[in-house]
Order: sequence, then C-alpha cells, then structure tokens
Amino acid sequence: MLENAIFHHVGIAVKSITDTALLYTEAGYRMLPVVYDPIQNVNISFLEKNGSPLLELVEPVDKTSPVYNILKKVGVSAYHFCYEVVSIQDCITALESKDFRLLQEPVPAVAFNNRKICFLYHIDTGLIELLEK
Amino acid sequence: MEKKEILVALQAIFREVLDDENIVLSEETVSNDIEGWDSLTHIQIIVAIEQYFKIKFTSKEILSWKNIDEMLNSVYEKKA
Repeated sequence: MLENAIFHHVGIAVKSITDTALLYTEAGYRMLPVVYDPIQNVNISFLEKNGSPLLELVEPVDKTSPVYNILKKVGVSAYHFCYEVVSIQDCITALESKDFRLLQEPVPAVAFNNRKICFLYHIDTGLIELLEK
Repeated sequence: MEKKEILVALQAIFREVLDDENIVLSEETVSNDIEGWDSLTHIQIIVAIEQYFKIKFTSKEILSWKNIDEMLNSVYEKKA
C-alpha cells in the first residue's frame, strides 16, 4: 500500500496552536513558526523533538476550515498521518485501487514550501495525507 | 428505484454520518446549506452511499458534484 512511502508527521487538529504548543514546548519540543495556508484556510505550526515523530498543529481560521468540524465533533485530536512519497499521482492511483478515496486533487502547501499534498480516506484507516518529495 | 426513494435514502445517510436528525435534503441542496458537510464528511457520506446502494463511484464523479441533484442522478444511473 505505502511500501515506498516514508512516515512524515502526525496531524493534530487544535483549537489554539498557542495553547497546545505550550504544553509540548514544556516537554522539550521546539515550535516552528506559524504559517497560514490559504488553500486549506488553516494556521499550521510544526513541533519537533529528537527521537519523536514530527507533530503538525492545525488550527482553523473560521467555520470553513477543514478541521473545524473535527474539533466540533471530537475536540483536539490527532486526525491524520502524513507520508512522504516520490510521485503523489502514482501513490493516489495505487491507493485508489485499494478503495482509498481522494478528498481533493493535489494542491501546493505553504507549510511545505509549496510541495504538493493531498488527503485520502479509507473506512478502515481513516485519513492520510501524502506529501510529494 | 425511483429518484424519490433515493433522495429519502440519501437523507437518512446524511443524518447518520453528520449525526443530525434535522437534515432535510432537496435536489437543490449544496454543501454550504448543511452544517458539517465538508471535504472529509463528503467522502464519509460517499462511502456510506456506496455501501448502502452497493455501487462504486469514480473520484472524478465524487469531486464533480455541485449539489444533491447531481449526486442523486449518479446513484440513479448506477441503479438503473
């Protein structure tokens, strides 16, 4: 399924990047600058710490932000795993053959220097993100 | 299967996935009309529709629908 993909980060829907990041920075994580993604309409910041998975905090800007409903439904929570892949299109094709459904066509992401991302959903795995190398 | 029956089934699926018994669908309904209908819940709704009707949609179809009528017509054509 994702044989050649490399795990990249865990996405966490948060109400406030500041509030959530504070708890992690006290635990030794380093917080990277907050960026606004106009396509996803969210604020994003990464938290990194040696030996720990990279964490992506995703904060809604308003009700149209994709994470708004997740927060409303289940509160602050991890909601996707991201994998880095060589060809996002090849990976989409492979995953669709396994019944993953594409949420939207790949788009450039400000948080990754405009590298392409996309999200896919499977009823048995939940949401995953692909990030093209 | 008549379109009216399909619309009733779609409404039940929307209510179940979005956990809102007050949702009322019409052929003109668009995503902005329904609270909680976003890109993720859209896909969850699609998966529920596929399971209920035992059909399969292509990604092109899923990403092209602009309202309930287009979704309903896709189901209708596959069940015809």
